[in-house]
Amino acid sequence: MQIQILYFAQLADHAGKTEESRDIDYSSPAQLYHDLKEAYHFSHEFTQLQVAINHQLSAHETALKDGDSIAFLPPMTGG
Amino acid sequence: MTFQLTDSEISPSTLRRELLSLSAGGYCSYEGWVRDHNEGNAVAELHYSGYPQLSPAIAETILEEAKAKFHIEDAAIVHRIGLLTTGDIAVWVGVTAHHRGDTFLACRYIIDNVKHRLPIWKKEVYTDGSEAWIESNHCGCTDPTNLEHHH
Repeated sequence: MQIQILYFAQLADHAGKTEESRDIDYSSPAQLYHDLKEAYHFSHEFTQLQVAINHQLSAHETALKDGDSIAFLPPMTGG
Repeated sequence: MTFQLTDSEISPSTLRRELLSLSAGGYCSYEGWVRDHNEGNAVAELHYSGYPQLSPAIAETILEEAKAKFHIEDAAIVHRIGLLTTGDIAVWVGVTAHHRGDTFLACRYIIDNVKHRLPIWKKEVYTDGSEAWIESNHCGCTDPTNLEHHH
C-alpha cells in the first residue's frame, strides 16, 4: 500500500526531503520508522517521537491504511 | 479564541487591540523573543519549522483547556515560523479575563503548553556559522501554579 511520509525538523534534514511516498507491505508505524531510520540514519528512537496520521496525533500502534499520510514528530521546541 | 501560524513579523499592539473587550477587567500577554545566546553559544538567528496542517488543532486544544481551567474571557496565540533574527518576537500569547489572577495563570499555562505541544521546531544558527536543532525545551514547568520556578 502507498503511504505518504512527511518529514519535519531534524528528520527532514537527515532525509534530505520534506515528504515522500513509499509502498509498504505492513501496517505498523514502528516498522516503517525502523526502515526509515536505517535508510536515513535518524538519531531518534521511535518511542521519542509522536506520530501524526492524516494530520492527527495518533497512537504509536495505529495500523496504517492505504493512502494514509504519516509524520514522525521529534519533541516540539517552539516558543 | 484564535491561533495564527505566520511567517510575518508579530505586532503585539495590533493583536492586543483584537482582544480589547469592555467586559474584561484585565489583559496579560507574553512575548517570546529570540535571544542572542543559548547554553554558552552566541546565537545569530533561529529557523522555526512548523506543521501547518496539525498545529491549529493542537493550539485549539490548549486554548480550550485554558478556558476550562481558568476564568478567562478570551485568549490568542500567534507563533512565527521561518527565519528569525535576534530581537524578533517568535511567539505571542494574550489573555483577557474579568480579574488579573486568571490572566496571569492562563497566560502561563498556554505558553508552557505551546512550547511542549505545538508542532514547531527550532534550529539555532550560531555566529560562527554552525547550527543545531534544539532537542528539547528544558523548562518542564507545565504546572501554572508553580510560579516560583526560575529559568
